[in-house]
Amino acid sequence: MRLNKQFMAFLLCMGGLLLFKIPCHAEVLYQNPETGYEVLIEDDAALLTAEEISLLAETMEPITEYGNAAFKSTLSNPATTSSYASSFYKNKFGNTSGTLFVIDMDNRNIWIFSDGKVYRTITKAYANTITDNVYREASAARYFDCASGAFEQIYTLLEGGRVMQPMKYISNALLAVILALLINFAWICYFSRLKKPTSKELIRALENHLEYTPPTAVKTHETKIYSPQSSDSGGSSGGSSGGGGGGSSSGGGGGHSF
Amino acid sequence: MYECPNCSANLKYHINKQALYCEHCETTVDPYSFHKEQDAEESTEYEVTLFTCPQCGGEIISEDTTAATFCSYCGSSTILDSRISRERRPDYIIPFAKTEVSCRNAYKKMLKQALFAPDALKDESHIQKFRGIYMPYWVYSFEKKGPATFKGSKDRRRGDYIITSHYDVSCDIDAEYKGISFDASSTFCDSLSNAIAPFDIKKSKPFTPAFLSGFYADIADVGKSRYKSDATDIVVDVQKDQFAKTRAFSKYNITDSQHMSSFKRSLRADKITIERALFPVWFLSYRKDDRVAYAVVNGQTGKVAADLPVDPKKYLLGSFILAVPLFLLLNLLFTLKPGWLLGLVAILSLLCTIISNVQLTRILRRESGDDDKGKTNAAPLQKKTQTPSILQNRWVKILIMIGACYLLPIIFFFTISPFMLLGLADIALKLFVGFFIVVALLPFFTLFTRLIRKKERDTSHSFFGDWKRKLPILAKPLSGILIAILILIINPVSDLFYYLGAIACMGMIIWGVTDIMKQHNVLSTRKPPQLNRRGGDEVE
Repeated sequence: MRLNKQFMAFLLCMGGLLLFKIPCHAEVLYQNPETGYEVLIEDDAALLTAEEISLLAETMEPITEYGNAAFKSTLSNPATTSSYASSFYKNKFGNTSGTLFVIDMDNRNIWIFSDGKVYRTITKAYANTITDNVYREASAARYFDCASGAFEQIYTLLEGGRVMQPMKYISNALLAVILALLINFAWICYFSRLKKPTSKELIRALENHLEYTPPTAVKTHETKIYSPQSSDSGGSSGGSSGGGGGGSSSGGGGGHSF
Repeated sequence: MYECPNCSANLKYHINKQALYCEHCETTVDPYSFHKEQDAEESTEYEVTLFTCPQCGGEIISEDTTAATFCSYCGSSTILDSRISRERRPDYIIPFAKTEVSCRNAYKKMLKQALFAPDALKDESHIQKFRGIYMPYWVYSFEKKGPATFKGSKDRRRGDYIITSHYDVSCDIDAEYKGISFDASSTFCDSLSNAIAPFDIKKSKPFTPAFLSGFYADIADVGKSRYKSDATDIVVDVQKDQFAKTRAFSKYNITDSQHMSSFKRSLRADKITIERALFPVWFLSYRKDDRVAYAVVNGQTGKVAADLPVDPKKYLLGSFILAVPLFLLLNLLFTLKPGWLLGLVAILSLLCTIISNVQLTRILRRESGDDDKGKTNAAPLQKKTQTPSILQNRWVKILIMIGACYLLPIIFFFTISPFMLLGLADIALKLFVGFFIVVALLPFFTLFTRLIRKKERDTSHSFFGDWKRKLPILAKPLSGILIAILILIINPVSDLFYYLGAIACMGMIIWGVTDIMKQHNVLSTRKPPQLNRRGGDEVE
């Protein structure tokens, strides 16, 4: 009986874990045996259920062929999402290759930060495109769909595939038409302008002669204006500013509000 | 008509031979061998056939009595009325040096680069209509002989002081500038005549009517002192250049802006001569509907200038072709975030507004004749008597400003308070910031407006004026800017608003660009002239 009670309590706890989202700490859910890159999920804002976490980890696993894959959610962030994502990634993975997806509930922003080899593919532009594609899910509180959608698109790009960006093409097409219209107009204006002759051309066409006797100058008066010389003009500019350096700023990303 | 001394056929001036030439017996005759008696009497007039266009009233004269079948000014194909008339003799003439063939070739060469020009302009039968016309010019000559004293100065630094020594620089001057010319025909637009200038006055010859044989000539109807101030300005510029290059004068800085009035005063001409002259111009007109475009070639130097309207179909096709590589380039290089895209589109919209406004101002200036001194002189415009507006009163202005100072914050408060009440503090804050940016920029805008107006005060149409007439056209790109600003201020989460706003704004820009092209075509063509001419000296 006692055993049964204990078993029931264990089942309730497990059920509770499945039903209610409780904050979980940083957890390396997978490590690629070949590359050593990891899948890390830190859902401090409790946006995902345990089942969703394991599903998300499965989605993130293939990315470890190229770099680390991390998910982070937070309820409190006094800084910008960009700087938060950057510092979080550096703390966890240093400058190694990988990508991080952040859901910042404080600033209502989602952000993708990438570094190393992954950043060569998931550039700022692509980070913006991906977050543009998934921000609606975040707005609708479907955070799992949002995160897994983002990682799927990241993996597609890393595999050499393409992600949908219809609005980019539509707006670029219109922008190209406008720029072409304006460039052609500038060409028309340049070509059809009626130029006045320059003064050199005019002088050449004139019959002109100028003769004068050597001028005599008579000083009439003198004026004096107070004009202090700049105090820093003669200062030394010596000294070297050697050293310095340090503090790499590799990586970058893009995001979207929701 | 000049008869050949050998065969009595009609002699015409031959450009390559620079003499009268008989096509039948190939005799060449010196133009000065005719009219000798009249020349000896120093007659001030000569007899010619005057052709008048029944459509526009344009007049051209010729030594030839053969009927002229089209008007070069309004472009209409019509038999011009002709009668014998006596015209004032010009003092000298620059004979044609460029043949019609070389003029056509120069024009064709220019048209090759005019990718968007209508095909009708390039049509061979149209190009054949070039007509050699001697255009009347006023030639200004300036002479200054005797002592001149300039104000000059030299600066040197001593400690914290700049010491300026002032000088009177004296010398004897013998200066002469001859041949500053301006067209004296109201039908010949200043912009075109400037574009084919200058004519080399050194190659001019004393006038004799025989030079006109085989050509036409226009009549001077612009007053001779019309361009006197412009000619004086040119002489001052030339003198400024000459004196600035001479070490003996330049060390005293006599051409500095502070001494310019003294410089001008000292070199004021003792003698100004204004003479009549005829200069050679190949003239072509292209008429479409109620607009006419001119092409002119300097008959002495071969310099070409033309009104080049744009064929809208060619322009659109050319733009779409150019858009393809631009599209690929944009996709390759940029992924614009929706906010940035909207901002960029707003800037392009602003650019369209500025371009459109510049063109509209130029159209208004042209319509009123402000851009052509010759036209305003030949047909003085009746100035409207303006009733002073109550808004022009200084005290009314001050009252409005005080009222605005009180009213604006109240209006602003009522604008943002609904957002505050609805809990949309973010939007209220953005409106607040936007309002203060506008208020902060207002003084700069006012200052800029005043500076521009100061420059344009001699003209009745300015960049910032005529808003009532300009607004219906400028409303298109301006509404694009407003849409963009509104969306950027509200800053909605959904990208859809940004993209829709950007697309709407781009639509407005494309609409605005079509207006710009229409304006360009208005500016590159002209209204057919309606002339009621009188002689140039009568205008004085």
